[in-house]
Amino acid sequence: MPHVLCLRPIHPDAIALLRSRPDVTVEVLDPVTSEALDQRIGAAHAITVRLQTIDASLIGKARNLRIVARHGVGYDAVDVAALTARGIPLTVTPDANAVSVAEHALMLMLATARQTVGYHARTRAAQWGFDLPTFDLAGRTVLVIGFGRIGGRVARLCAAFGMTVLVRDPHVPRNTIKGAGFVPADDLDAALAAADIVTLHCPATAETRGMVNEAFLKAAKPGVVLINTARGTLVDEPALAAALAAGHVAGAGIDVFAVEPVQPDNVLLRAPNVVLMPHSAAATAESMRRMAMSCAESILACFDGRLDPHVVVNPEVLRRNA
Amino acid sequence: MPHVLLERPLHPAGRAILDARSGITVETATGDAADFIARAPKADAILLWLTSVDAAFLDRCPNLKVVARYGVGFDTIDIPECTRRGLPVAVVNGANDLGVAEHAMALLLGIARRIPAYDRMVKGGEWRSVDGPPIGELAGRTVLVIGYGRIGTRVARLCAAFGMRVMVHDPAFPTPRIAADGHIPAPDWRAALAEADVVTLHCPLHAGTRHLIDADALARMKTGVWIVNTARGPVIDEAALVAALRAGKVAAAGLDVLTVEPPAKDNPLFGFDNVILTPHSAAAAQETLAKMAVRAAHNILDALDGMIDPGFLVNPEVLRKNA
Repeated sequence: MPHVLCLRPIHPDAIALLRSRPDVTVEVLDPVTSEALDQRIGAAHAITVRLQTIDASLIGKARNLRIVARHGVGYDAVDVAALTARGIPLTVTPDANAVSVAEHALMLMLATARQTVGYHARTRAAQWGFDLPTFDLAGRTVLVIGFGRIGGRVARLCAAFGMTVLVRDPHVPRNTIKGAGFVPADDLDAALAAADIVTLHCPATAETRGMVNEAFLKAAKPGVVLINTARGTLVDEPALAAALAAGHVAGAGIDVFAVEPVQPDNVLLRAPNVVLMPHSAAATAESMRRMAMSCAESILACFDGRLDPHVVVNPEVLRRNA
Repeated sequence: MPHVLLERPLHPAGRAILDARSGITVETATGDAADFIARAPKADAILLWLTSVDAAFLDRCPNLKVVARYGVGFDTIDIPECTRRGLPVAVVNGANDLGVAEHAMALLLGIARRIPAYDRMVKGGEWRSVDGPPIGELAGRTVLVIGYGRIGTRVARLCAAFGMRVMVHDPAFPTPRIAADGHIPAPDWRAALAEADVVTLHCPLHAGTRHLIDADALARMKTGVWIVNTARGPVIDEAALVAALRAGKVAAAGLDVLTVEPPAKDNPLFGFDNVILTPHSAAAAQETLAKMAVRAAHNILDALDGMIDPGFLVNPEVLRKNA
């Protein structure tokens, strides 16, 4: 009988879905100690993975393993090559977090525009007045970098607020961007010179890492606002902190850092006009449930031989297994 | 020569319109109520921020031809007394609705994501990405928009853009029009409270809306409801809200307005981590301040010229009476 091992609990509705199958057994490890893992991994046909590192040595011990289901979309901590060598699919939860992250990006834009954090602190201290400048989103120009599941939603929400929406994504045909009602930004420098707000929605790759550097910031309009709900490594943090200190960047809403948890010496912690969040964009109750349900559905689909290749990071194993 | 008295310095965008007009004099008070009241008797037009206007004030201002407000609220002005005297009361309709609607969304998203709490934790070295205070999404939640005027209509549209289910209550607005706009009319707002995950207020303050959200209304709401108020503080019974927050009935609130402004240092709302407060700054964005100043200046000049658009008057009936 296939056995599912959850490395830390996932949403109870997903556990219930797994348990509703009479031919499947479920076990939850919490906490996940290396002793417990060593002891139980051999019995697992499927594992759900939150923040646990899944390396080649662990995969070697998982002699019955048929699927690894990542609770989330990133898989930096999983040795994909070792799984592929064994023909084991790694799934992610691509549909679970887009709504949540897009809302978070808009929240950071509005919080920056309205100085919500600063005014909240002043009001609670009974300081009443308009000494912090605020602005409307309507009529502003936003540059959305990355036009995937999240960027597409952010672009639509910005349009609903009456913003002019520029979109940059070298992997999306410009006519697709135009057809969606937005302005393709072929020339990055020209787009940066026009944008009041720049929001990042691309993955961290060799091509994008460190993209927001000194030259990028210099090309941006004075008074620009930067929103990052993508990956911390897209941004050269010291360059951003310097641009904030100089006032060239008027504000930033940051959910992600180059090193997480954020380190006490991170320069952004003491930069002016920043709103900082603990990589919580996808951590809403609804999103956590969707991620868990997606994991459970992938595991059951794998056991039933009907795994959707669109959620599989290494789909080549499906062809090989077929 | 008509004399215009401003309670405090006007945004340059509006001041320029007054200065460009020959044949009037313009005087600026300090913003202090006593100073303004002392200067008022000479005025033909007054522009008000926070000063209250009652019968005794009007008795001392025999030349007055228009009472103009830098804002859209009129709870500080005795409207029946102005109407009885044939005095038009002008507000800056249309200048602030966009800014206030955006502010309501900023507060709504802010409480959904608990921004001040998480921002403080991250800056203080506490990283709690999954086990911190609970956060939620707008998509899929039901919002009850109370008041479907210039601001409420915008908020309803923005909520719909976020994928929310939008219910609208406004006794002054035909329900078929609310339905035609794509929202769910809620003529029985008390019944609708039981369905709403979010309640957002966009009605003016008058006798009928004072303490609209009282202990009874709060008791009818879902446990875990979120409340946003960018309208007027007294629309909510603040003591009842505090009790509902303490009891966990209300999970979060975003408030731009309070019963007493500026608030006392010991306002009990300051003690909640799930309440976001802003200092009545919804209409304080630079763009909004400029638009309001332009509208206020035109209202004063148009009223002095006897050609004000009744759409900017709280008591348009005075135009018919004066005619």
